[in-house]
Amino acid sequence: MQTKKLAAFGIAVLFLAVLGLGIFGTSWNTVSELPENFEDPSNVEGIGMLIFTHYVVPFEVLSLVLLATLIGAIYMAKGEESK
Amino acid sequence: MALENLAFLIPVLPALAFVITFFFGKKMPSGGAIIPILSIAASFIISLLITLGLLANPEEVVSQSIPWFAMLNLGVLIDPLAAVMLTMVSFVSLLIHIYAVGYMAHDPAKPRYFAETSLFTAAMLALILSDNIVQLFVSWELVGLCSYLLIGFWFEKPSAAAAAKKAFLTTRVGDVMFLTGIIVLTTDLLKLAGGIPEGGYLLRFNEIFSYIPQLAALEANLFGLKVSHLTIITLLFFGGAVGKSGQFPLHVWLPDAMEGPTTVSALIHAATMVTAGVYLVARTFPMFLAAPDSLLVVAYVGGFTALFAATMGIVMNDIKRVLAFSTISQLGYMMLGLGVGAAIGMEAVGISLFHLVNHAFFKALLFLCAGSVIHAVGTHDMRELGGVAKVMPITAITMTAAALALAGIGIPGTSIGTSGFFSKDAIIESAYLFGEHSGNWLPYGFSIAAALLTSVYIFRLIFMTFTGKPRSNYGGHESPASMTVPLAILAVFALVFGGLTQTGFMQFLEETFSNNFVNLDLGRLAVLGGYELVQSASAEPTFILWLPILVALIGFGISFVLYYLKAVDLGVLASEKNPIYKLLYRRYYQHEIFTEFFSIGIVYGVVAFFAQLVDVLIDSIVESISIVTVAAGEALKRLQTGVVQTYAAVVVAGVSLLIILIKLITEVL
Amino acid sequence: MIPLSFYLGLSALLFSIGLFGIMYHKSGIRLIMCIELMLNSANLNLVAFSSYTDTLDGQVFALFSIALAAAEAAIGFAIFMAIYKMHEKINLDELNLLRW
Repeated sequence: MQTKKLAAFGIAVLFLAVLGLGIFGTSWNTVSELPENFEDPSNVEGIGMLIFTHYVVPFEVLSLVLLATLIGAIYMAKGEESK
Repeated sequence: MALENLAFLIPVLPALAFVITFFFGKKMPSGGAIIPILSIAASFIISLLITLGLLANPEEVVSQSIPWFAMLNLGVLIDPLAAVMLTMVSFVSLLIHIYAVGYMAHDPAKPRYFAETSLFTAAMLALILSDNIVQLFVSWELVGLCSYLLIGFWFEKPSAAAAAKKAFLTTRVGDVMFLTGIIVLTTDLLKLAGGIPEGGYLLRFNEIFSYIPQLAALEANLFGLKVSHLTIITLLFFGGAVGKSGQFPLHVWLPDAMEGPTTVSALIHAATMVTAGVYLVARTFPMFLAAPDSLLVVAYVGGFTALFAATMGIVMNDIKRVLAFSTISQLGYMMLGLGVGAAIGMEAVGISLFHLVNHAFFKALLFLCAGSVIHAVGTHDMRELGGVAKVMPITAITMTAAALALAGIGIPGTSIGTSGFFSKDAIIESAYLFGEHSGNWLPYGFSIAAALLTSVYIFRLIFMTFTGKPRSNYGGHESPASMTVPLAILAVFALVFGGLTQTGFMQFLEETFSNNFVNLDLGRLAVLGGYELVQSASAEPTFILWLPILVALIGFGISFVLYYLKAVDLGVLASEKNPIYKLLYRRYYQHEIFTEFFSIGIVYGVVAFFAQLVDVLIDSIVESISIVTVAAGEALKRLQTGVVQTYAAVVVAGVSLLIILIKLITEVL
Repeated sequence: MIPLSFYLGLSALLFSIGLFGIMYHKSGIRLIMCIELMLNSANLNLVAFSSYTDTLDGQVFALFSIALAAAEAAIGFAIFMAIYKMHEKINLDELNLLRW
């Protein structure tokens, strides 16, 4: 059990190291200053606009996915006894 | 003409019947026999109509062809030779199938029987239709396979299984020679044509025949002898024919092949398979004619086989074995008929095929009558029979008709006589002409002696089976109508076919190689082969004309005295003490020489030795490879733990290490 | 201003913790919790990039991702319920039928 824990820990650390090297070794192309609007700090309106205009198709597809998930989950969780 | 476009259906219909009967026969009445019968009847009608059309206009043969690959094609060729064979094979096969409904009525494996005979018929028809040598070879092998299946039809009997194996292996010797011949021919043709020609098919018969002069000019050095390539090729082809047609020395399979059902014997050994060899020689006859010495070999082998088999025929006690040796003997006659083409040219194909067709009728009839007797009485052994004529009059009458045809009873100079009379005597007279012309008298001597013995053994069979008192207590009854009707039809053909068609038949066949498919000057080819053809046939002396019928009557007389009147006590003559009888009864010790000494001793011994060598050498290598592989698998399968978490861990570790590796390679190196 | 790398580093740390949990824990419930952790680290990445490039697309995708996480959790729990009905427990290292 101890070896398993050690191995898992070692692999996780190794992966973290790889990720960390990638993150800190890259010069990210970001904006120089975060935009700040103190009167209306919320961007909910902008997100809403995006979802219902540009991303409306993925949004509708997502609704179908959720519906399918709902049906599937109910079917599987219901099990044998109720059939 | 629309009918010619149906020509390809002739072999295809029975092949379809094979599939249907094989898979669905169990659910149909009487094993689905109706399907093969109908399909073969259709084939027969198509063949007959095409033949009639061809008779009216022999110049216009049916020839169709589609490309297969490279220089090969699949094609249909119905010239007079093929037309005659097609009609005969489909007709006899049809009658035998009808007869088999009654004969095989009590057999549980009827669907298999009818499926196999149907496939056999299809293969034989395809062989006849072939317009190129490769297609012919493929069908040839298919026929061999079917004969194996049919001879071993009752495979639960060890003797039947052994006979099937023997037939297959013996004919295989011939087949290998045939294949070698095709290979030599192909390489020669490729050399002569300078590669694969555009638009032409190199192995089609018309192409092959057009290269005959160049082939004859090629010479090879064989054991210090200068031999024409054409001679080598034709002799190899003849080797195949020897195997298939049961000529000496590859005839040993044919008597044993009587282990199959009698209908199979009739189908394979009278009408179809054994004639394939004769057909092959007839089909490639122009090549034989242009090849020095080949036809002499054919004539001598044929003549010797005719006599050799006949001597064994007179001592056999098994009714079917007598007929088997008779078949070999008659096939010898056909080969002799082709061989004397050295003197009479194209006419040889006519007389040989004439005998082939007549023989198919009367030999099928003999086999079917024998089958009728066996079916009713339940024994093959003539010593246990006798007086069967009282119980089975129809069988007795038809079989006597067939015997008369086989012995060749008729009056020379008129058109009165049985079928066998016209064809066999024509061969014997041609052999005389051949002897007179070239000085090779031996084939003629063989054929006359064989004619005497033929008459002796067939009437011995008739007298021992049908006359006298029963020698054992058998029941028995006349066979049902489905069996006697084909017998009657065949009997009519055996008696009158020869007389009715004699001249027309031969003229028809002489047209085989001069039509819109091939047009050959056979006289010029004979010069290439160094044969002098008889220009004007001088009439044979009357004595020669009468001699065959005379010896046939003498043979009848001998049989009558010995087996009907029983004037001489045969106990002393026909016993193991008489060295000649013993030699004949043991069939010249062929079993001991061919099978036990040659096959088992030499061939099998050598093969077994090498097989052991292979076991030790190759198998050890193969086995060590397999041991390593299995051991590696055993060790590596432990990685598959089945736990999802382990897999996830390995995947993550692998991806991490891979990224590090790529980083190292791109940055450091 | 906090550099972007810090957010990304936090996200990588969260992801690795989730990964460690997946590799180490036996219980199916904890497995699903760890997967949620990893998904959320990815969401953090999306939002961070969205903010630091002054676009809103990343945040929209974070929302989609949360919806999908819900779907995934629902299915996951349904599967584990089915397994529980068969085995009376949800111990992952005992579900090793898929081996040699």
